[in-house]
Amino acid sequence: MQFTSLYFLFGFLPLAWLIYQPLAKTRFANVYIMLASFAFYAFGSLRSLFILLFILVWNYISAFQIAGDQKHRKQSLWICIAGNILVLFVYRCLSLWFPFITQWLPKAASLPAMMPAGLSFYIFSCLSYVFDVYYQKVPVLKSFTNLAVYAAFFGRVNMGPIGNYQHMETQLASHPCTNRKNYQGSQLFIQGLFRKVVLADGFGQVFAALAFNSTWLGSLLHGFAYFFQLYFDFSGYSRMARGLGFLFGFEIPANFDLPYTALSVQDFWRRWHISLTSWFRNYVYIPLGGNRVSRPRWIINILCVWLLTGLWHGASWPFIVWGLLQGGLILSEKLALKNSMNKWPRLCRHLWVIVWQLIGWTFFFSPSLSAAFSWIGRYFFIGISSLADREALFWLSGSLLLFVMGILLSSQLSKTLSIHLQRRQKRWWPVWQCAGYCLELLVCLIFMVSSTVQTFLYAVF
Amino acid sequence: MKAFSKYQWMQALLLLCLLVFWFFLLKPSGIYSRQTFEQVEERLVGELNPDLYPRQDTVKIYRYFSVDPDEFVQSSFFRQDDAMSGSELWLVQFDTNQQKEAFLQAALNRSKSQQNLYAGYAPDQEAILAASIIDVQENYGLYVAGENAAQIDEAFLAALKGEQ
Repeated sequence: MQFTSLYFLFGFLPLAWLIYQPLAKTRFANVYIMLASFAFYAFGSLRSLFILLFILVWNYISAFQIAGDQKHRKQSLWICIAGNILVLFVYRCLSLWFPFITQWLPKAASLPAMMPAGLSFYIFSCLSYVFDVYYQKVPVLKSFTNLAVYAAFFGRVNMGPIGNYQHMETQLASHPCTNRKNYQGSQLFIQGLFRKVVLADGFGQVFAALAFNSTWLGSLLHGFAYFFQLYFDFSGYSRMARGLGFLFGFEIPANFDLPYTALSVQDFWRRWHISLTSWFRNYVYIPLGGNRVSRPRWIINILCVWLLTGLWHGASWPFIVWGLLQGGLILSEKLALKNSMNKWPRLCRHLWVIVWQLIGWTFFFSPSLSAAFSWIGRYFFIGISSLADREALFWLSGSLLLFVMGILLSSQLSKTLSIHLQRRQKRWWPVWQCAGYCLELLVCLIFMVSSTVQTFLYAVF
Repeated sequence: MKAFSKYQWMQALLLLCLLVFWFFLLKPSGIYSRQTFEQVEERLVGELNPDLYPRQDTVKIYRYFSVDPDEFVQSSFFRQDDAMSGSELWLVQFDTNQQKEAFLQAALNRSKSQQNLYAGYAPDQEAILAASIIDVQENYGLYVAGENAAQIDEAFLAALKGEQ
């Protein structure tokens, strides 16, 4: 079930929330959230629910094993990681890396299509818990329900944000619902819905329409359409997930912080998919020694983290190259451009990030490396059929407003404008705000009823 | 060798459950054909009476079955333009369960709506539709309505197996 489906908006969500209200202060609160989350997940597929339950039980038991057997803690940790990786590997890589397997098991070819939604998100959330137990940052969870609520809460089971167990631990014991949380949660949910339904799907249409356009303008619009689509799609979902968290009493940290306003690639990755970059920093980069090692080892550490980040997104070459490109850019900023970059004008630093991310996302959406290089070439006038054609000009004029909205909402401007209006209209601000959210919701519903909503891009990870 | 702890036993049991689950998930429940769509189609066309089953543009699939033909790997559709004839054949190749289910649902809906359409005034066509066959295998599906539907279905299964 998607957050943008009418079943969810007018069926599951209000029902789940209303039933939760009298249970919120009882000891059944978490049991109820767990059962509601399993029901939500089972709506997609019962087979997927089996895998989710396997991952939860596997990590729940493994944590006991790690904490109980002090002598063989490391060995137990590796067994636990292997179990998780095995599931990811079978669904994601088996048929791609070993195509001969389909000779004996023909159905293995469709394993990637059968991959449970959000598999890598909840596996990483569970691993965060296991690592925290291993590093003795937290005690072992006695309650399976709490682990299930932490990793499989329906608000984030499909697309994150990836949980950080240490941060969630206290909230699992007590997560009261307050009016403030309900208000904040509703706001975040509507904001996210608008970003997804109106902006991301609008950019999605431009992206799809220009898929075969080989002019310079068409290629550039195609690339930038994906650039904004991915941002509004994923940040929209993350806001909705946070909103749902608030409605059920949880405070889930933000997953995006205006990433396209970053002034370096390193800064960009502090603002984009924060939960994933924090996960890799805490559980891969730091255990590998971080930057407290020799320079060659540190370079290997950075590349290793980014190779894994690429693989997390997909087991194909474009994702691997994309991951290594990000690692290479961060290294070049830290080593080669270290001092000179700070002296660059702000606009140049900003352009540096935008251009490299545009190139990066091109690897992300391309089915093969050769396709990615052809697209990138066309951004720089290589291999173009002409500068522009009628189709490209049509989509430029037709989507101009969308691009202006995209730039406004992905920059500081929207925040500044909101603060300015709040100061000027102190008395009427709550009324304006309420009317604004009602209008946003109405627009989203119109888009949803007209069936233009597309699936979330990050759901495949 | 140190004995397994109870947690290790539980882990082993869980892994076993996972393997059993994957076994049933990947076990073929029908014929998984390695024949190309063209090979299967050619074998079937050999069995068809071209007057009763002329080839139609795949756009008609959308019109008659309310599904996008591009949703599947490949598909072809055969029927007369004569609305009084219930004979028709729809061959589909798919590679996911969703496509398989979409095919099955669309074929069931079509068969039912056609039967309702002919009920009362064209009992012979209604009987043909009542005896229509929907055969869903691992990566191919066939919907056939016609007097020799069973014979065509046999040819379909033989084509999937690569038999001549």
